[in-house]
Amino acid sequence: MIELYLLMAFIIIAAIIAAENHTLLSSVISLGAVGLGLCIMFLLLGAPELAITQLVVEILVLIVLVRATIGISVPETYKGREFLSYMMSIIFIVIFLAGSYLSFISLPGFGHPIMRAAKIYIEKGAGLSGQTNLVNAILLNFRRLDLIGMLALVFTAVAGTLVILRSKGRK
Amino acid sequence: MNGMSLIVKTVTRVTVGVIFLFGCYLAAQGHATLGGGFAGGVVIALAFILYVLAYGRTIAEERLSKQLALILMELGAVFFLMLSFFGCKPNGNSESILCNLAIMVTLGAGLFVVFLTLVAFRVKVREEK
Repeated sequence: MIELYLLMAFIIIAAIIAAENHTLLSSVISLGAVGLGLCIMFLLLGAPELAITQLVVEILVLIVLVRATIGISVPETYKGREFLSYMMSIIFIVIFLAGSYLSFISLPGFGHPIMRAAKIYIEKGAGLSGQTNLVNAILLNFRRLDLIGMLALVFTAVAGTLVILRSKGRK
Repeated sequence: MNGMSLIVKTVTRVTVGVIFLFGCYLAAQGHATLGGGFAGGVVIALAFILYVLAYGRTIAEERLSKQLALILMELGAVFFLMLSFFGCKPNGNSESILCNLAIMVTLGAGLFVVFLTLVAFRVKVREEK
């Protein structure tokens, strides 16, 4: 369990570096470190299918972001911050941490009782679907509506990109 | 975009077919082992993106143009919807293979179209007079 906490600390540090960096390319590469750390976490938790998907999508996003941000420099808009804004952000962080601790302390342990919906899939999924791979059976048979929503998402992404980033505008 | 150097072009010419085949393998074996339609489609899109980055846009569009990719994406999505509504009974691997292949075609073509549009896009700063 200790390696998960180490990876989580690595992800948080990489995210802070990505947020606080002033160069766009360095921020994009730090975001890639966040995604790859998440991929290793999935692998350690015993979900290799999710790890494969996360790795592939992360590489695609990294290529697109590097291609989009290379050669673009953002001018600095703020030099010195106010004392009040620092204090306000620290107070908000403390409130957020306390609230999340109070809400997570009452949850059951990590993966301890298998949830009711998942238990039905695990017990009867192989018999009902008749498939070899249980993950694929759940995705393609019980959760087919999610996949249709995913394809609608891809359609919306393509249509939005074609409309917003068209090279010639209509006269 | 004129593409990259000769070394990159040669390595790309050798490896792009293997990457494409690996994407097809991930999608076609998704019902039995690891993988699935999503990962296979993204790997196929990555193979075409590698071709665009190495050879430039004009040569890459001779292989798979933007219009053909759009038509492929729509056909894949419609095929998946047809399978969902009028498909065979959900017992067995045969429908799963077809669904994975439909998702693979849709995602590969769709992400390739997104990347082609992003490559063509240039930020032009308007000159103020």
